[in-house]
Amino acid sequence: MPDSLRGRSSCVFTTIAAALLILAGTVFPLDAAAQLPAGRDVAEVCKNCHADRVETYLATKHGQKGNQRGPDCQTCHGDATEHVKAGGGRGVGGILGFNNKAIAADRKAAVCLSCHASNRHLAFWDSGRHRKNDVSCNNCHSLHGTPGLGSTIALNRPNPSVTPYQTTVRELQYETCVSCHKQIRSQLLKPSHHPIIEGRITCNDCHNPHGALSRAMVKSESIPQLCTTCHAEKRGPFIWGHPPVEENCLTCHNSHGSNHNRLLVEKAPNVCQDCHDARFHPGTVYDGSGGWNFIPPRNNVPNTRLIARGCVNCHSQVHGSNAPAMRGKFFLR
Amino acid sequence: MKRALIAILVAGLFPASSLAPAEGLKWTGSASLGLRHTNDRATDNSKLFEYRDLDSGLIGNLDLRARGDNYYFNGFIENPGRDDLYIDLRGGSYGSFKYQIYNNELRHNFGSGVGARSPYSGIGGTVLTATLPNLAPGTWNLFDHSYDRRDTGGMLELSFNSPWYVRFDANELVKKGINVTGGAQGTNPGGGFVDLPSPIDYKTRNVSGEAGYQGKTSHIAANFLHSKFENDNPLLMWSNGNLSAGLPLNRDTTVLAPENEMWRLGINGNVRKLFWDSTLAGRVTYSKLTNDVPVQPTMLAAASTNPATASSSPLYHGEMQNSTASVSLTSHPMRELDTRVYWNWAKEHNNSTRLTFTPTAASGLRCSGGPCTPELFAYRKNNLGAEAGYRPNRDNKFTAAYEYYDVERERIDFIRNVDNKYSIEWKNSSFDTLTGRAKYQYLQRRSNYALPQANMVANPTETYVRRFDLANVDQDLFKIVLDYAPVPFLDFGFEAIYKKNDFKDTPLGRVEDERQEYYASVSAGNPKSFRVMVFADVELLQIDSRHRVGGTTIANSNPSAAPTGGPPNTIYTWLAENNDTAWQIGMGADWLPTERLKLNGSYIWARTQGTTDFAAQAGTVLNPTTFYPIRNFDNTIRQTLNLKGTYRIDSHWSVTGGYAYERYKFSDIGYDGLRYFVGAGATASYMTGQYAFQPYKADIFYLIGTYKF
Repeated sequence: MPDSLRGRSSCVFTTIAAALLILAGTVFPLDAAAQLPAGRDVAEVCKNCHADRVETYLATKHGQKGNQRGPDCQTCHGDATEHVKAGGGRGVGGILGFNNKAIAADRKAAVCLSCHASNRHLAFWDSGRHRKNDVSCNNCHSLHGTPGLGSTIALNRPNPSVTPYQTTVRELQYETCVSCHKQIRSQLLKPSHHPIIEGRITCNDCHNPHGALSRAMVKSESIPQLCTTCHAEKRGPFIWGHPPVEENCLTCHNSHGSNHNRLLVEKAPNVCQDCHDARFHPGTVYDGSGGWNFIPPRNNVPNTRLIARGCVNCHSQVHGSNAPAMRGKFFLR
Repeated sequence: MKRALIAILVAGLFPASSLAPAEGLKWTGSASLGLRHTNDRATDNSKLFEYRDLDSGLIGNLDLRARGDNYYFNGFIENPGRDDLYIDLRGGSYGSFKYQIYNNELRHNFGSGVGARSPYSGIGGTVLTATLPNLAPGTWNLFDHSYDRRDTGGMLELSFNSPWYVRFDANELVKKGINVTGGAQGTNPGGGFVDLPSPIDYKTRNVSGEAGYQGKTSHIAANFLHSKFENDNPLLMWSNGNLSAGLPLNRDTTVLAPENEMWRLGINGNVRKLFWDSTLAGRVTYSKLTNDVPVQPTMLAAASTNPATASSSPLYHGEMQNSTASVSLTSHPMRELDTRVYWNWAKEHNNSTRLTFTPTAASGLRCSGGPCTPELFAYRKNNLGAEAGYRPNRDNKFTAAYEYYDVERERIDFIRNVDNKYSIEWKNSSFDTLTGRAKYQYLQRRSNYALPQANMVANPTETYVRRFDLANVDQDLFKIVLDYAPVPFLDFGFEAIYKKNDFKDTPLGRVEDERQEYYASVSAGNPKSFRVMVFADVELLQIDSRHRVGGTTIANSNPSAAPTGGPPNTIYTWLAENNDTAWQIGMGADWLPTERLKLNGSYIWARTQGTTDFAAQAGTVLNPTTFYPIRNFDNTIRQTLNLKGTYRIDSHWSVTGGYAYERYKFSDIGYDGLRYFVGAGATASYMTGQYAFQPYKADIFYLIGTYKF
């Protein structure tokens, strides 16, 4: 779990905080009849034990005085009256701790949604996979954290960065996402990948982690519409279309990363031959005798359908062509 | 400094600075300036520089933050004067408005130096001339095979503390440079090919707007998008060494990416707090993509011969209309039960010009000996699904799901397919220290294959080909996820995925693929003092395919038919087993040995390997008698070491130093030993060297001073 370390870290803090609270309760006993201050003034009481948490809260957008919609401690953690009376402690007095694994994800998310449910980004939270898979807001967001360089929101980074040297010092969103999506972590480190670890594009350029009606929570209605947002040169329309291109770019490409150039799911000519077998050269064997170190007599020169980009050496317009007649039909021009 | 950078800075800082006196904004931030030195040992360092400007020189960044009672501002600028400049300026007033202005640049490097040379002159323009054959690469022209990508845009959202809002987004995406495309030279296979350095001068402008209501129990929004793609170079003219050898001014034509324009309208919304604590969400969209492309009236087909393409129209009007509708209902009929039912519908209507080309038999431009008639691809999709999650107690959750997918297509072969997908999942957290998730999914796809008889006569092998993306398939998928945290600050994670596609009724094509993935990780330590993470990933992919070469009739194209022709046989069935594997080991650590010193380090070892084994049908007579396996399809090893230390001198000043080492090895049958050309005479092929010289070693040193205020 991405927050497991955080959970333990929090456990230590909570223990220390509880000890301090007991001490504080001795020094500043709360009158049983007294009410906690209303609104943000309650922070003055909370910081007796949770000084670091209050301090970080006040540094966030939530904690700004002018932010009329900003929550106070009790908005998120619940009524603290009994908690304070009891001298504090994890979960004591019904206080809601977001790192408490015993509390259901939906209940934690409900706290945030009580204010943010109406946000346009969260319009499809209920329909999204994250909610379905028991992901709550605090799994990704650190509400008491300080946003890193170049960030406006603080995201959890439960693990140290494991990345090649990058020319950016920004805290990158993908590090939060791959703490759960290990398959994607692996793909992003492959030789051919979208520049995500380099910080040039982010996960939420394509996905809405807060929920979407589309498959994989992508931001568009279909994969081709999503991809051609950036790759508009492949949008066509073309006189000669290539049906898989029209229907699903992922038939041939892995958008996150691949062993093969151009994010191809399989090396050419194999990826082409899986669909194109014909009387002529698409049905031919392009075996290991056809490389630059060719082996006669099967190949007396390097085979031009195997070397370099394989089929695409000639059929360069595989995304579609507007060339006339057979030059277009076979994506040659 | 670039004009764009200045404009963005002024535009972004103006709103914030104008508010500063009135609102008493409290400014904080940091400014960093330093030096980087890169020492690379590479024949062609484009892979090292693929998305990164690692040139030695000054580096720096500026981070600005302002907080006031009502207003806030965040600004960040990085790598000014470099290819990967990044600017992000955001601000607003809590609950009232917010804005963003940004600029994001990169250079995508494909080749340089010896990795980018060409016998053509005029590289960067739309006319490439060469007198071919030219088998002396040492005399060819060098060029920079890369393009710059710049994404500049902004956003403004207004809500004025009301549930109503309006938002505008706009951006311009510019790509400028050179990318290599290819061209077959003859009118039939065997004429050789050429790599063509093609000018990239793309501009995509997107403008979108959304207005909506975001209430406590409902949300509705209407939005529009206008996107226009412009390409300054619609055609690339080039000397064809096969059709016009020795005639550099006798040019062939490649039609480059067409300009286009897209409009999109959409409405989406939801209603919450319905019966059973339900949420009903929906979306409707309509988009229209159009372009108008002049059809080339002639094409080079022999030396000095440009026969008519005989198009039924001189102009192609492309028009694709896409409509979609989605509805989703999520509910909690009981406290322990959550459900979701959904429906997605999509239709692509192709209203493009229906062209027919009727070139003469002598032109060399006919399709299978006759006229050429493009099909107008279109589809209609229906997707229904239901899923339910039942939690009998706090520690267990069972989920079951069913999905139905029905697609009808205007297409020559697969006119319809129906998918049925079932899945079950169990999530358990009975043990305090161990949580687990197991999932099984079964997919069955059945297709209607209706290739016309005429196509089978022209290309009899096609009778037996089933394309794997639409062929009948039975798919099994298993997934296990385990997380074990025996003591505080120690966490073990493991994930395994097995997926198998069994393509049914596929005489020729991909018949089976099997994927195994294993991901393991250990993380330990307290983030406030020392923490470490180690991971190991393995991915194994096997793809089996069956092919038939040389079939001249439907009977002898049958993969079960005996080998014939020759000897050696010219008509026979062959099999390929393609294996792609990837291994990765990574480790990273953060260490705070003292209050002032912070150390970070990571190391990655990543390896990929691709192989293909071939086998011929029993009884096939071959010369030589066996096929040669391929042992290097994109074999790579990448090692990276990344060390960084930051020392805080006082509350304002800190210094950061670092060292990184990278090594990349690459071996591929298509590139190992590349010699830029193949063959001789009119059928010679010419390559630029793209991807051929990727291996590199690099040392990177940097030292940065930071002032925090």
